[in-house]
Amino acid sequence: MTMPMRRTVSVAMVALASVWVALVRAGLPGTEATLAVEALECGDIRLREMNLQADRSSSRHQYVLSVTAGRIDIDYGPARYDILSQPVRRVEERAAAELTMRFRTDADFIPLAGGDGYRGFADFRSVWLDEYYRQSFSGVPGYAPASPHGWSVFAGGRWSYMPGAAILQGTLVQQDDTVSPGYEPQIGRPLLRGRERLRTTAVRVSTENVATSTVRTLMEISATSTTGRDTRYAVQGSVNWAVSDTVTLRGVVAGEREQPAFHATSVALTGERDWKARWFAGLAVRGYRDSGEVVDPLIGSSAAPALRTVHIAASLRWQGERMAVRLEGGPYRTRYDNVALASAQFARLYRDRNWRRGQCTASWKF
Amino acid sequence: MAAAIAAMLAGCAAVPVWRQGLVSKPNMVFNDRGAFVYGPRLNAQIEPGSANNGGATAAGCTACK
Repeated sequence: MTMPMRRTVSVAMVALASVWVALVRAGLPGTEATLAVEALECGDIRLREMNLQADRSSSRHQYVLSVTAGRIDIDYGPARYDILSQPVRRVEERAAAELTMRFRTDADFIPLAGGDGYRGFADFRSVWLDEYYRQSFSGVPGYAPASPHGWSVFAGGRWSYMPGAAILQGTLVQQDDTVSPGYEPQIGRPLLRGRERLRTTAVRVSTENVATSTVRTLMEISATSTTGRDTRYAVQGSVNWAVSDTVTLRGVVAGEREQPAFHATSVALTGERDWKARWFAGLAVRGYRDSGEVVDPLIGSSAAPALRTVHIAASLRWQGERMAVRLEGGPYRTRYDNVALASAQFARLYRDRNWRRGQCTASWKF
Repeated sequence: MAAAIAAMLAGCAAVPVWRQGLVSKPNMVFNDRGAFVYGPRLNAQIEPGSANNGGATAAGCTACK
């Protein structure tokens, strides 16, 4: 990790702590602060993320400011036949900030606007691949160190078309990402550097409904267009069902599709029991599978093969008048199809893993 | 997709507020913040079909050739 990046993350952490202290000291009425810490790790990969969110509401506006600091820590290991690369531990950090604004009006329509910015690698896979390309091509003409960063803005509206019972929300998102590119050697010429800048336009529509006195539903659809790729369509349906006064079931079904051949589905079910709406204990099971991103297995590619995952999580939450604390944790299993022979150098990246995940969240209403 | 749009537009019968006690409980609301956020955030780094925020993450393979 470079020194400027360390400074960026340090500044983000100091800002995060400062915002928290300022909110506590100011005691601003109408403000809710939330601190969340999440960890996901297995033998060779350790992921951390800390997020502080401040939600300030008044009669005319609502502002949500979110600051995130993330850490990706991997033990890079080359393929067995790769005699040029060396095992190495690599740590990358990420800082992000996001602001969302809602403007309350006398009508049932609420305009929305916001934006965010970040610096750092988005995921451990891009860190692993960046290390592979660094060790393979560093010093070769055409190679340049990566400096991932990006921003996005969005605007939209929220309409209570059946006040108290149904909401329709739509947003338009414009995003710009500078990512870590791939490289391809060429005989007698500098390296061919892959696409570094991605521009994304997305449209999202969702509707939330109180279907009956015990059922609340949420349906979300989106279309996302990113540079060099076909449009990705996504659908997600969620149902919350109050089985009794103390037992709640939540279900989520989601699907994504992108030409030429990528599709993904996931299903999640959570059961929760509460005691006088003070203590909540739950158990969640979630399964995911996709078709992989490999278009032609005969051509060497760093694209991921088909993936299946299962996550089981137990949770415990305490809810007070102003404060709430929630703990959640459990195993997460990821299984890939075999990596094609032409892409064997990425077999260690796409190997099966058994992860451990934990999350702690605390919120305070001022 | 067509079925999803149809389901969205179908709407629902209005449930009066006085009958919304159970659906207003903290764990029945679709909240995007606080201690009631559900679903892991870090898993999206592994599942390219779960990153619902476009751009670098949803691009899935950000460093593919």
